[in-house]
Formats: sequence, structure tokens, C-alpha cells
Amino acid sequence: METSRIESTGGVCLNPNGATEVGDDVKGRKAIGRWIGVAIPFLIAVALFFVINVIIPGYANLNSFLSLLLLASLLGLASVGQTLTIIIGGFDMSIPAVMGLANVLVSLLYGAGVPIWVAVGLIIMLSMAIGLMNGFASRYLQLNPLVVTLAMGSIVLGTVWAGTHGEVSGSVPDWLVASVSVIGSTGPIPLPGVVVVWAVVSVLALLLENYTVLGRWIFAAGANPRAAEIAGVPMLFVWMSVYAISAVMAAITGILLAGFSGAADPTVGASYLFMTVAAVVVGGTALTGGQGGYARTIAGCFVVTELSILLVGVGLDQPGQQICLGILIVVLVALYGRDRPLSMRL
Amino acid sequence: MNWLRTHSYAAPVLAALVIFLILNALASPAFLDPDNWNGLLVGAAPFIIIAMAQTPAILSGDGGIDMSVGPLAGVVNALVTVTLMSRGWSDPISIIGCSLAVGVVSGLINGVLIAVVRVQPIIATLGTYLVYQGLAVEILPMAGGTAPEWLRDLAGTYAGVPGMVFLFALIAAAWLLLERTAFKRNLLAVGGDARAAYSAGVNVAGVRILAYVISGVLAAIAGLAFTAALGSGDPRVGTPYTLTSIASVALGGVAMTGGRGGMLGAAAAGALLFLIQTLCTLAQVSIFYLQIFYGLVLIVALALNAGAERARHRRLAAQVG
Amino acid sequence: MNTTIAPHSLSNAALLEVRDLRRSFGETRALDSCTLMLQPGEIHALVGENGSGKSTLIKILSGIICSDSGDVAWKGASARFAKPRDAQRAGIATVFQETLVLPDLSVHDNIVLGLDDVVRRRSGQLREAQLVREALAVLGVATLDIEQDAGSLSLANRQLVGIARSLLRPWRLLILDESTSALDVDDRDRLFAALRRFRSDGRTVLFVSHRMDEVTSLADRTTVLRSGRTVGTFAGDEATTERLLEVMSSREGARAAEGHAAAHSRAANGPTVLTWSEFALKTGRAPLSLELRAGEILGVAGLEGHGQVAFLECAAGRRASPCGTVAAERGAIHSPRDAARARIAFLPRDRKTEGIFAPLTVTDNITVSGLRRLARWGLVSRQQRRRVAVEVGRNTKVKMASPDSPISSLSGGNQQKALLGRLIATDPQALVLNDPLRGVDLGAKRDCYEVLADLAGKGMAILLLSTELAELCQLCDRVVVFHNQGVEAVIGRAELSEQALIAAMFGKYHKAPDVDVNA
Repeated sequence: METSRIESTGGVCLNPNGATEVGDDVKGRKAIGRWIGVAIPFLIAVALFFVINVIIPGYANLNSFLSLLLLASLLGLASVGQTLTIIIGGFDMSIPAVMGLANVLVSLLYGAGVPIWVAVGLIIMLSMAIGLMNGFASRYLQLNPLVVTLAMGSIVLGTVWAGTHGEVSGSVPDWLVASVSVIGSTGPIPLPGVVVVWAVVSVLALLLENYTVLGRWIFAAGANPRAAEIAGVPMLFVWMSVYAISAVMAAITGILLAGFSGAADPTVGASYLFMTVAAVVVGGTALTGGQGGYARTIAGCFVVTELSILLVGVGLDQPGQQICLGILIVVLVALYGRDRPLSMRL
Repeated sequence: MNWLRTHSYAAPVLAALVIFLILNALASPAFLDPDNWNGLLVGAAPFIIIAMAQTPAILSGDGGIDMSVGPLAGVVNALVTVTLMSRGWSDPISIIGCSLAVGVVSGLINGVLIAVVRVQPIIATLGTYLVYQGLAVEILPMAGGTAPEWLRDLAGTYAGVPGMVFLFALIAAAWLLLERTAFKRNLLAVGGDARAAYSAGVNVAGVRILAYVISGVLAAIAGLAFTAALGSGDPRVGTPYTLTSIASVALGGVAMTGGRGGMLGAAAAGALLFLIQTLCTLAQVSIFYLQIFYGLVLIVALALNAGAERARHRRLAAQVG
Repeated sequence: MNTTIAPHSLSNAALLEVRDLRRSFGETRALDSCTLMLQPGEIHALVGENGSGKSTLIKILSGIICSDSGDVAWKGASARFAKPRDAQRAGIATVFQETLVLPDLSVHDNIVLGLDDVVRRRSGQLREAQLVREALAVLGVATLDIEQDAGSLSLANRQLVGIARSLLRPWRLLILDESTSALDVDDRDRLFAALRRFRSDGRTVLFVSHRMDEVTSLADRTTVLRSGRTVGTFAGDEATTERLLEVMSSREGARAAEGHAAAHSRAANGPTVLTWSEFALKTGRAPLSLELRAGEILGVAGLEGHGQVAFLECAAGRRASPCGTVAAERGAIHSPRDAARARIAFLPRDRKTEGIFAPLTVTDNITVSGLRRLARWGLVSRQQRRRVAVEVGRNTKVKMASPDSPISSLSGGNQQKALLGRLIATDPQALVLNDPLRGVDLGAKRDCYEVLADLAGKGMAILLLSTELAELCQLCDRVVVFHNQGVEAVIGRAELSEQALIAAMFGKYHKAPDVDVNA
């Protein structure tokens, strides 16, 4: 009893010219409608950028812009997995823990003389294993994904603490430091490495969503899991792939964050739990699954990052920033990310 | 019979609770000494009450969850030990009144955001989670402050009866009273299928708001409980309890999708988590391993619950034919 | 177009009067000038094709949605219900199309649901139990254990619980929105007897049904909707099946849906696609050995819950066969994977929960199962998917504005055609269809009959479960009828009639002496 369904008679075509031909006017209007839906978060991001420039004196310079890009990039990389897991109807609460693990391991291994690429390779394999377990437990064992990933995060972080006793010594290569520095550049591109990585990852994520079998399976799996299973979508494969991607992206973010500060820190990802969920939801991806996409999350990352910058810029202390960020994001979601009313779902 | 049927979901966690009581007793004979019971109850109270606080939110369904219970307890802790004490409002009526009022207001905010404004529960309560975390630090930048005398006494005994027993009795009485009303079945109906409940004429928004208010009130009481245990304030003490509470609800056999389960299971699971902690302490296991252990217990419990659930569904399907 | 409005006496004492009601969803007019008048003490049928606005009208009357304009007068006074609760308070009880029963609540709690406030109970425990028992007794299921979970009930009993819930309130108007679909003949007869009693008490029943036999036998008057407009209201004797179908259909010749598709001439002697050998659903039931050949439509029938669904699921590999085997050329079928390898495509029964992906486009919905075939190295372009969707959609007569529009913007019938297209896009050898045309409007039904006959003509083997006997008689070469978890009969084309099917479904089929089962 879905009221949003167009209740025209079976044979009535929306196009007055009849038959199954696609009416240009209808197609055009639909396309514009969809485009506006994606555009709103981007418009908010742009508007916020101007607000920041007006409110914070002296903000308008290249370095500030680069640091915005840089922070958004880190959030964007961590949010790839959150976007995909939310689209299939899950959650990944283990992202901060995997970030912490990667962050600690990369400094530890590199500090101990392991070649960086070997270290990175190991970390990616380890995180992939964590992701695969998340996906397996959520889908095959049918456990609640939110709780499973929370538990997995607890195990991962506990292992890191137990293994290091909270003291990590190590170092990271200089280029890793440069890649997350505002003044860094990537070959001929005058942008820090992390921004370039994000750009590449974004393109790959969008291609995955729209031009691969896995991508379309992901949306089907989220839109109606039962129907997807009956329609022959290999659900376990989809869930395990998505969680593996999520964990690997979290690990990559964790490695990049190791370049940020000299010392490794298991809690480096703590703030990313709320931030990734916020970026996905502010972008307009529905928590009900099957709707949205990474394009929206890109905008969401800018909005969330800009909000944090704005709050720092107006001189709030740490707890003050936290309070305002909490309020602002709830308000933003209340403005345009609301659930459909119950009566519309009948 | 009826009671057994509606509480059968909690059987596994109650069994596990008994096993861990025995394990604790085996690990340390002092565990059986009645003199230690008060200390155990005081330690267990925040776990149990915060688990109960999470329950109505999750039971209310449609992704219902209250991430803010931990930080809210922290805010109550800071409020009691700093704001109220410094103004000289240390009498039980002011403190209990203010704490409960904070719980009600917080629950109303969450409930209205979720049921009326229709923000997804995890977003709304993660938002309030951040706000309360910030507020607690604003009120009380570092550990300090003192709890009033009478509250610390609650962690002691009255004529040999642990003070916490009175607290538990009060909460249990309140919940049993509420179970006799229509609220429990309305809550389970809304959590099970909000559309069905709505079309049957249930006031879905009202039921959801009340569920979050109960969560808020219980979280505030949990805040009082650990203020009594600590005897002082600490702005960071509340936050980790959110995780504990979700773990307890899952452990307690409550359906994470809402609509099935109850407070008994969650409370038992809260006590179970506390017993796991005491067992680790007795075995002199590093606090770092505790986190790993929690995670493992949670996954195993979820898997067992899911297994039982599948068996139940198979049985039902076989009946339908 | 012939749109005679039958004259009926405009009494002043109308219980409900709907005038010029309009409601749009986006650009679609779901209701456009709808008029309806209900008298006290009548049984009034509301008919129309799917998408003609029946559901919208009922949702407005029961307070789930509001109208854009127009009047609803309830007992002579203008009324506007903002919530289901408001309508219930006013005395309108509605049983919705979907059985909205909560599986984890007891039968008792399910029935009293919605009577109370958030906290306060309307009546004491004893009184509650008494009310529940009374309501169940009215429906003839007084023996139901009211403390058991509703999840353990059969589909039919769940539907009865849903109806009992509505009876509990002091109602003047009872609305039944296709809420008899899961009931077997006995339950339905008891329900109809209860409805007649209500009528003699001076209360009013408004019921929606796709089954013309129900309408003609039960209704005092019948209102026909078409494209959101009221076409007319007919008194009992005017409302013959032929007349109603003619008025309902917006296109000429929709009547042809009945008795049309039978005109297929197929050579049902193609190669064997599926073989059942010594197959039985339970030990002790007579084993079945049967072959499904390419180009054959094999019907499956039975009363609700008599094993025909399990039979279908075994053939699609969704259930292990309890005794004996189902096999394709390449070997026995034990799992969905075996079925996919044997190119057997399965269409589940419930379109909404098991079929469509509501938020996704028509293209996605059609291509999802065939993606593997389309892809190279896991890659598949948007254009490629679209092309396949348009092509398949044309073959299955899906009427859509664009392959990029969401499937939820199509009517139910067209969604069903798109799902049929999804199966065809996998290039199957056999289709296993679980009641594909249930609740589909006549126009779409006709299209589907043509599509199925056409497919069979091209050599597709089709296993078709249907709850509509006429459909089975028209389409099928043979029909397997189940009774009490066993095969009661396999009725060949020559013997096929509704009477024969009904007899077999009730376990009273006397097989004609010399019928070769594999003829």
C-alpha cells in the first residue's frame, strides 16, 4: 500500500504520445529532479564555504583552502566504506578501530625497519580480513551489523592496546608526512598526496557504483534483501566485499593519518565514527538502504569538515565545538534528511 | 505460564549469568562472603541500569537506539558533583529532582527529534551524544567535585541491606507497574511493525517519545548510581557506558530491530558484563584484554541468539505449513 | 464510452457521502472527482482495476492520508480524519489489504491493539479477553488459542485476526480492502454470513474485491471506479459480471481477458525440461512422476496451505525435495544454484516484499538477475543495461515513462510485468511462477496471458501456480492439484474445468478412467 506509487491505470502512459517510447519532457524532468537531489548538499557545501570566508577574518587564502581539502579528503576516504555499508543496509562501527590499528602498525613496522610497502601491504591484508569477518558475521550468521562491527572494533582496539600497552614508538617515512601536509605536492600536481588519493578513490567509487555488477548488486541488496536473494544476487559475496572495502579504506586513512602527527595513536579514529556517519547522512544517503551514493557523501564530507572549521574559527573550545557540531548536524538532517512519515509508508 | 512465555527470550542470558556467578565464586572464595556483596552491587548497578536505559529505545524499532545514554549519565554526574553541590543544593529532593528532570528533558528531545521531526535515531542520539559529552566537560573540565553525603551512603548499607537494593526495588516496581498498563504492548507493537501499529490506531509518536523519555530517566538514574559509587565527578566516566548498554541489550536477547524482548534480559546481561569484568580482575588480566573479551562475548552471544531465533522461525514456518 | 450511472434513491439518511474527492501524488491524479454514497444497512462493493483509486479512497476514509479537495460527509456532518485513530473514533473500521498482524504479539494483544492510549488501558483484562473471544466467535474461529503468538498462525487465521481487530470497536462502517485473499472457502463463507448479519443490524460494509463472484453474490450495490473517477453505482441486479467488467475497463475488449489466451496452439512435445520422479512432499503420500516439456504450461493448484507452494519451491531449488527428486537435464535440483544452472527462473509470490526493489529504476529491476550475463570482467555499462531493459520491457509489455524512472512509479500490473521481464532477461529454459497475476488488474492480466502464451509458443516450459481457477483453465495444458500435502490429480487439457479443479482441491476428484498422466 505504497502511496508514492503512481496510481495510473495499468495502461496509461505518462507520455501523451503513447506507446513505450520515452517522452523527452518526462525524461528531462526526471533527470533534473535527480540532479537537484544530489545538488542540495553540494550547494550547502558551497554556501558554507562563503559563510566561513565572511565570518572568519583572514580565512580566504590558499593554505586555508588546502587544509579544508585535506581534512575533507581524510574524512572522504574513511567514509567510502560507511557509504557502501549503509547502502546495503548495514553500518560499520569498526572504522575507528581499524584506523587506529593501521595507524599504530604502520609506525611500528616502519620504525622496526620493515620496508614501507611491505608494511602497507600487510596492514591492508589484515584489515581486509577484519572486513571479511564483519561481512561474514553480518550476513552469513545474520547478526546485527551495528553490534557486530562495534564488537569487532572493540576486539581490534583491545588487541592494539594489549599488544602495545598504550605506548607506541616508531616512525613514518617523510613522504607520508608530506602527503598530509598542506604544503605537500604530488609529482607535478600542487596538491598534497591525500587529496590526489581521494580524487582517484572517488572516481573509482563512482565507477564501482554505476558501472560494475557488484555496484548494482550493492544497491539491490540494500533496497530489498529478500528480493535480491531470490533474484540471484550473491548476498554473502556482496556483504563481504563491501565490508572488506570499508576496512581497507579505513586502514588507508589510518596510515595516512600516521603522517599527521609523529606519534602513533590507537584512538586516532575516535572522532571519525560520528563524522563518517554524519557525512553519509548529511549527503542524503538514506539509512534504510538502497538509496544514495558516494557522490552525495563527497558533498557531505565538505559540509561536515566546513562545520568543524567554522566552529574552531569562531573561537569555541573543544567541548564547545563538540556541542555545536552535534546540534548543527542534527539540524541539517532535520532540514532535509528526514524519514518519510509513517502514513506515507502504508 | 504466561510470564514464562513472554520472558523466554531471557533464558540464555540468565543461564550465562548463573555460570559466571559460579565461575566468580570458584575463582575467589571471597566472592561468596556477604560482606562483599554490597561492593559487588554498587559496582554492578551502573551496568545494570544503563542496560535497562537502552532497552526501551531499541525496543521501539525502526532503527531505534539511544547513543546518548552514556554521556547523559556523565552529565548528571558532573551536574550533581559540581553545579548542584556548589550551589548548596545537596539535599536528596533537589538532586534527585534535578537529575530526573534532566533525564526527562533529554528523553523528550531525543523522542521528539525521532518521532516528530523524523530524524533517524542513530543520527539524533549521536548528535545529543556529542552535545552531552561537550556539556560534561564544560561543567567539569577534569575529574573532581564531590558527591553529597547521602548519595555516598547509598553505596553503603542500611541495617545490613545494601542501599542499591532499594534503588533496584524502586526501578523494578516502576517497571512492573508500567508493564501492567498498555504501554508495554504498544511499545512491542510499534517496535515490531510501526505501520501495523499506526493503522490499528496506536499513537506511534506518543509511544516512541515515552520510550525515549524512559531511556533518559534511567540513564540519569545510572548517572546517580555511579556518582554514588565514585563519590566524585569525572566528565569522561559516562561515555563508555553507551557501548556497554548496547552490548547488554544484544546479549540480553532483545531483538536489535525492536519489538521483541524486555528489560529483564538487558539487566541480566548488564550484570553479566560486570561479572566478566570482576572475573578478569580476579584473574589479574590486563584491562586491555577486557575489551577483547567483551567483543568476543558479544559476538558469541549474538550468534547464539540468532541461532535460537532461526530455530524458532523454522518451528513457526513448519506450523504454518 | 458507455458510462451509465444507475439511478439510486438519494435518501437523506446517507451514512457516508463522498463528493468530488481529489487527491494527487506528485503529478499523478490518484483520485479525480470521486463520488460515493453509503446507506445504513447495506453491503457495498467497490471495484475497479488496480490503480483506479480504490486504495487511495479507502486510505482517505480511514484517516491514513488526507484529500486535496472535496467533501466527506459522515452521518450528515462534514468530516476530515487526520489519523487512523480519528476515523476509528468516528466509527469507521478498516481492514487493510496487507495483513498487518504483529507476529511477536499474542493473538489477544494483536486484536486489542490500538484500543488503548499510550499508557492507559481502555478496559480491564477480563473484559478485554471477553471482547476478543466475542470477535473471534463472530468469525467462526472461537477455538483459536488467544495466548499464542500471532506468528504461529496460518495466513488465513492471521487475516481473520486482522478482521477481528476491526470488529472490536463500536463501528458503523466496516471497510474490507481485499482482505479475503488468503481465506479458504469455508472461512470466507463464514465471514460473508457475518457481514450479512451486520447488515441486518443496520450497519454498513464497504468491500473491495477483484473477485467478481464475491461482488455479485454479496453486494447490494456496487460502485465502479476508473482512473480515479466514479463511473457509476449499480444496484445488485444490474451488477452482472459482464457489465461491471465492461464499465471498469478503460479499453475496449478488456472483457476478452476472460477466455482469450486459451487460443494457443502449441506443440507440447518438445524436449523434457524438468522431471519429477517418485516425488512426494511427505512420506506416505502417493508419489508423483511427471515431466514438464518445453513449450508446456503446467498449472499448479490447491487450497491455501495444501502443499502446492512447497512443490513449486522444490522445482525452483528453494527447498529440498522431501521424497524423490526433481531433476533437469543436467541433474537433480537441490539448491537455487542448481536451479540457476539448469536455467530455471523463479518468480516469488509477494511482489512487494520478495519482488521489486522499490527505490531502484525499472532498468535495475529488470536487469538485476541477468547482470552476470551482460557483464564482461564484472563491468557493465549503463547504456547496455538500459538497452536490455527497454528490449525486455517491450517483450513483456511493460508500460513505463522511461527505463530510468523508479519502479515504484509504475502500476502494480506493470511492476509484475517488469518482474516477468527480469526472469526472461536471464534467458531461462523454464519459468516457475508463484501466483504471478494475483491482484493484477484486468488489462495487465491480459497482457501477461499473451506474454506467457507467446513464451510457451517459443518453447519455454512454464510451471504456473494460480489461485484463479479460470486462469488455470485458460492457460494450462495440464494442472497438478494438491490436496492435504499430496497430489490429488493431474488434470489434462481435455478434462480441465473449474468444476474438476474445485473437486480435486477438496479431495473429491474422480479421475476419468483412461487418462495418461504424461499425455
